[in-house]
Amino acid sequence: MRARPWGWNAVGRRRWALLLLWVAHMAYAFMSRGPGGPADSLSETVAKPGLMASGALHGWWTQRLQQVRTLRQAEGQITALKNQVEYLQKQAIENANQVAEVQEATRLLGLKKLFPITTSGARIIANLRRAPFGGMILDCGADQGIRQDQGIICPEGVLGRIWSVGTSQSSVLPLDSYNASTGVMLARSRATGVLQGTAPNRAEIRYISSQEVVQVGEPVYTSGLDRVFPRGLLVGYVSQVTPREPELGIEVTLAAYLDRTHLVLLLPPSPPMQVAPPGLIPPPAKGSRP
Amino acid sequence: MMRVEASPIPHLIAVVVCFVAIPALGAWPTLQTVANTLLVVGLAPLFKSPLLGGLLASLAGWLVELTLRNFPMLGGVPLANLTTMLIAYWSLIQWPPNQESTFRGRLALLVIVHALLTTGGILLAAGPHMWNLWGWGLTLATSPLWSIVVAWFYAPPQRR
Repeated sequence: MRARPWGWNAVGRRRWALLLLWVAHMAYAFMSRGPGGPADSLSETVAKPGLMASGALHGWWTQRLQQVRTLRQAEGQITALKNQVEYLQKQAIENANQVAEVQEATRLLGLKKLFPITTSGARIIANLRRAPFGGMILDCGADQGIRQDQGIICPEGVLGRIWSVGTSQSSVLPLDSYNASTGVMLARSRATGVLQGTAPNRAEIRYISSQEVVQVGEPVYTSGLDRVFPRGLLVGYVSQVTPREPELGIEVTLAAYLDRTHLVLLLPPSPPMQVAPPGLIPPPAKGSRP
Repeated sequence: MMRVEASPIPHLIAVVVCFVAIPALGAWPTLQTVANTLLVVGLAPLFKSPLLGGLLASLAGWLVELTLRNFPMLGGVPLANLTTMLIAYWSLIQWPPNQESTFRGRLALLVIVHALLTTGGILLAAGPHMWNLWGWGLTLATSPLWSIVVAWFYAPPQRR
């Protein structure tokens, strides 16, 4: 008589065992779905010897492949490495602009997040500062609601203001232009004056009384009085102080890299005088005017 | 037709070689797939006891998952191995091979079944996962070679 295949005999027991094995696997696969399953730490422990063995074998094989036995092989490797270095250098040169722009955009995004008023980003598509009557050209214009005299800043500091607006482009009047005037104040004394451009990346502060004490290296911030920039944005640092009558000759080195900036933030037209959150504007120095 | 039992000693040696190769080839997943599939599709179903073959196939699957960090250790490969081995064993019982060419064709077909089941098993256990195309491709490409060995194990002793 033939044994029943699913009965409690040798064949049946084997079948049941197989079924149990399969169901156990299926249940395990279902139950431990996703990372951090119950058997993760156990399996990691169990896997260690195997991983070590395969790692050792892989290391031995890699070492064997890297062994150089003949001069021809060594020369071949040197040529291959030279080609690789050349390729990587070429890639680095090709990507340098993009990397720089990404870094600049990241810093600009950080500034945008810090700034409590709504700003918009823009790209400088041409920088003609060194040319006579030159300036910078932005890639946005009247079609994007840009208006004259909007302030322009970058992560390093204040850059300038919108000079004229075209349909899709605008020109910028940088801080160091001869005809640029910006309301500024000195960090220590809080004395306010007007910044006027003198030379590339340089400007001077007018209308500061000779009675004021100004130190070289002192930061210069916007005063907010011109209603183009809010109070407290970094403009530059005092580089030279010349005692004169009736006003001090104060030369300022601008903080923004006017030649190297490609991405900027546009402030809204006529921003409020005070927008910086407390702490960003330096507190007045002891003995200074309120 | 009666099932022909595989030649014990060379068959066992081949199984042991596969079991050594699977963890050793952990750093080369493509080659490891070949060893694993050979064991599951070709060697494990040749055991007289399907339970032994199933245990060996699932053990090989666990070894693959333990040594290959690309696959999460969640039981997808052992499940696929076990299922494929059972299908291969069942096909051998149902349709005992009469010709070597058809047997080798069947092995190639089983490789594809194993690839699909493994991917399905990993999908079931760990969610969407990349296909080990190079591994399955190499296994399929080398099937004319290793299927000769498997067919040799399967053939009656007087025909070897």
